[in-house]
Amino acid sequence: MSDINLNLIAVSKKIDYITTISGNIVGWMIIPMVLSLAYEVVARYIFGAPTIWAYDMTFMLYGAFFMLGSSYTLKNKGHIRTDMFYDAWSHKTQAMVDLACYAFLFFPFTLIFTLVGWEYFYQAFINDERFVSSPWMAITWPFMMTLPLTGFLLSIQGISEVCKCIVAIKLNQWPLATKQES
Amino acid sequence: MDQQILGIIGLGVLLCAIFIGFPIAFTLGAVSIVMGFIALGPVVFDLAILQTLSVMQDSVLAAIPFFLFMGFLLEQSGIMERLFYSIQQLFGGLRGSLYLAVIVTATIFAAATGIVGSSVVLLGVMAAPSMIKSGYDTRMSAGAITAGGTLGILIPPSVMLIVMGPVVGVPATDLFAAAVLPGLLLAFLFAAYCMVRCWINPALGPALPLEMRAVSLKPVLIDLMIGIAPVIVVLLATLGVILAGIATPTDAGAVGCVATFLLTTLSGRMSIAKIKNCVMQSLQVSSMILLLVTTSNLFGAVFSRLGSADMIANFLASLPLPPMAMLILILLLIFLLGWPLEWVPIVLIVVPIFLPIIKAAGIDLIWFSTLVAVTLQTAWLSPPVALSAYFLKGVAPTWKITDIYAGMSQFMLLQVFAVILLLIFPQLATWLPSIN
Amino acid sequence: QSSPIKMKIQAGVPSASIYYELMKNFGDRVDKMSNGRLKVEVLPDGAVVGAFGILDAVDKGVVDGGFAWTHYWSGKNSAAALFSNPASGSGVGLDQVSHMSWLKNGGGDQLYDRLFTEVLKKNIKPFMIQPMGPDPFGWFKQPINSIADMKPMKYRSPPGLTAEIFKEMGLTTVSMPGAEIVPAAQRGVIDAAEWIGPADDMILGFQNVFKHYYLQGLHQSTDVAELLINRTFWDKLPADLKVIVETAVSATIAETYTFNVYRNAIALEKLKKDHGVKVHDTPKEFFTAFQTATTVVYARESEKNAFFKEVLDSQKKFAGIVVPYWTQINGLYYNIGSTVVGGKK
Ligand code: NA
Ligand code: NA
Repeated sequence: MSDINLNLIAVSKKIDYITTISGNIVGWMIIPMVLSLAYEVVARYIFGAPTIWAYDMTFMLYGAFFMLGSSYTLKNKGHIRTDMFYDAWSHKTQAMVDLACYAFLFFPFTLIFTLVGWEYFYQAFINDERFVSSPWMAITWPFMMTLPLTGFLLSIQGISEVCKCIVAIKLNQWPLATKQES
Repeated sequence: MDQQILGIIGLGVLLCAIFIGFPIAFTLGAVSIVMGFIALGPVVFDLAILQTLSVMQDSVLAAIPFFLFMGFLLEQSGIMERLFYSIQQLFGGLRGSLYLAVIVTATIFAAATGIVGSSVVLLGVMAAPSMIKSGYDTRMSAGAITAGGTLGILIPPSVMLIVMGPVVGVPATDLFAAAVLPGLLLAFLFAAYCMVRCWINPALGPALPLEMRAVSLKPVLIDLMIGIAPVIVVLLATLGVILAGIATPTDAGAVGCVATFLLTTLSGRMSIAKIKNCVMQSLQVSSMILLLVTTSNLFGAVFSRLGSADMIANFLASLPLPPMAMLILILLLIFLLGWPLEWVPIVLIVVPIFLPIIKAAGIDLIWFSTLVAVTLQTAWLSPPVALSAYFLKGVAPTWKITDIYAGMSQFMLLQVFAVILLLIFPQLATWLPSIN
Repeated sequence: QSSPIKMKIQAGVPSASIYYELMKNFGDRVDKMSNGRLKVEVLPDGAVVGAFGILDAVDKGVVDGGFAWTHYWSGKNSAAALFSNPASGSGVGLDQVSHMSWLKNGGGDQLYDRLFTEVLKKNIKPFMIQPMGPDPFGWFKQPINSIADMKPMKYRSPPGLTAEIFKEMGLTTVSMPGAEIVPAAQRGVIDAAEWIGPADDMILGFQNVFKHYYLQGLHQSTDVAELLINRTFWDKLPADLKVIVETAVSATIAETYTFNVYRNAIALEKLKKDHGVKVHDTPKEFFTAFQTATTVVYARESEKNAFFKEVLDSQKKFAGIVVPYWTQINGLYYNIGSTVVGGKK
């Protein structure tokens, strides 16, 4: 294999590693999510003493959970495709189609999340915006920060996927084949 | 170019773009943004963010990660496999018994949840492995799970009916009552279809081989009790609290997770590695589903903003047709729009345009709403833009999407048959609300 | 003639709401007055964005206009609630009419404009358009005679500072979207709830799960909905179209007053006759307790937020002049009405 290919694979491996770590951190958010809502149910319905924070806490965690997990899902090929034509193509063709789609469909999408999402986060941060859904009136910026962060994580994972595409186009063989972990 | 025309072109582009084979969530997002950008300019970026924020704060959708986590815990612990095996043993010689189990479970589950996503994934996680192992037909299995799962949004509670109530001006509780019989009718049609097909062709859902059948009923029943007991505990902890009116489905999802976790861990069926597996799978499938929901909402919002649906509906509404012909035309339009779109823009935009005609013709609003609801159900089963297919693919990755499409299409036809029955027998919808 | 200008307004209410109907009327009026040069299209809640996304959507120009309530933006600045829904007349005794008078004659409109331009920094031209209050205290499964009766109940209230006032009174509130209230109540998730008023509440079917209705609400004793217009869109309108929009807004304010009284009255009649709903007076102790809690919460907020204090002070000053007079007048009408209906409800 040529140096270029090896370099691309090395870059891809590094990014995949970062994404795996981010996924491992985000995944465990489901535990506090479950526990805070379960605690609320017990507090509200059994002890008649509801908290003011548990609902908001759960929904903030839920929103962050699926958004931040989307790059990990991309890495594991967990975002569903219609595979009827795709599966029949050679690896090279698959990679060429993917490369075009990353360029024209994927990056514009993630770029918007990164840039416009950042603007929303920044406004929420400097204006000290609050959630009005409960008397807790929680600050919104940590929640809003997940928008640009999702855009960023997706974008770098996209770079890794593009590296894999380029190698696959050259070799007509997907490198670092990830099994679909489902 | 007219914005309305652009919206219709967008629908066509979407239907084609999906077949390229790029992850659908990103395809949907990109098509929406490009279509929106051409028509509206950069404001579509803000629309994308606002739509995302609203899915991120949707307390009803928040049930999805909980039900997924619960489902994976049950699956990893092996409890579900044991339960489904016991059912097969119990019905030993009956062909397609697992289909029956899936539809019955789906119907019970539909009475607890108001959305499709949590039903389809939970059924997929729990039943698909057993169906594969028992040599069941992939298409029919996928069809039964997706169709059964869509009952979640028809049998009360239902977010679709909650949204439709204030649009039509009928209390959602009346619509709930009206949807019960059509929901059960569909469940019956689904089950009957599976059983008849299997009876004709045993290969679709083979009965347990003779040598695997139980010799006597007693050990089977004991095994079933042992298999069922934990599941009953979990069902009581989740469905029970919802049905008893103690908590919302999302609340109950969290309680169900805790109950399932305690149950599986205390019975020694869990390990750290398995738990980690459940956590990461829940993350992955939640992300897949909710990103799809986000981008399909975005597509719907752009489409609504462009006014294409208004244009078509206003045109049809202006036709001089007798009421019944108009009613059938409306249902046909909703059916066709359900192909590329999800139910939200159809309920919010299309239904109100026809409402004056329906009211003027003296057509019963509860009957009309129920017809619309059952017709909209088909949108979940009409490929290629059929979210339930993607949800299922996420939890049953070995099934090809083409097989899932083929399977769900059969059930979509049953759904159409149900609409026709409902047209002929309005009492199916109007009887229960009238005695309420 | 150039082609007509289109104004898309995203409403925060569903299409069956009487307030949606009023916005449609507003659009028709603009259309006719401008001889078809300005076409208004009203979209129901959720069509493009949800109710809580309207502010940002109008600011960025995703839609040209929005129909919602100022208190929806109180998470961005708590003073927002004082413009549309000050609790118990801001604690200074303003009612729906005198509150509108404050907006028009007491400097309220100027502060309202500043809220959007200076405080929230939004590219928005705001109009108060539908004085639809007061909102009833709401629906109960069991009648209540005291605050203590309500303590074990789970009550759906509007979010934000209002929820904080209930909390100050020791009551438990939950927040949920309007359309989900009745299904939640049917399953017993909540025991009591407030929404908008008899006409809109009836559409959602509150009468099917609750039979006790308390019309006298303090938490939204005034309730004014607003029309937000993207300022770039507004600035581009020719001068005559601007006046047409402003005039149509004034007409809608007048229409809301008359429409609201009639539509809610016939809805209430129907609720009582056909659905066996019992209407009760809100127990007296709620008035003092709520008023006290409002003063405490608002004073606390005034310390944290200078603009909140400025608005509240303006209302206090105005109320000092108007409330003594207006209360006498309200007394007149109350006495006239009471001699006719007596204790009947
Ligand atoms: Na349901
Ligand atoms: Na579809």
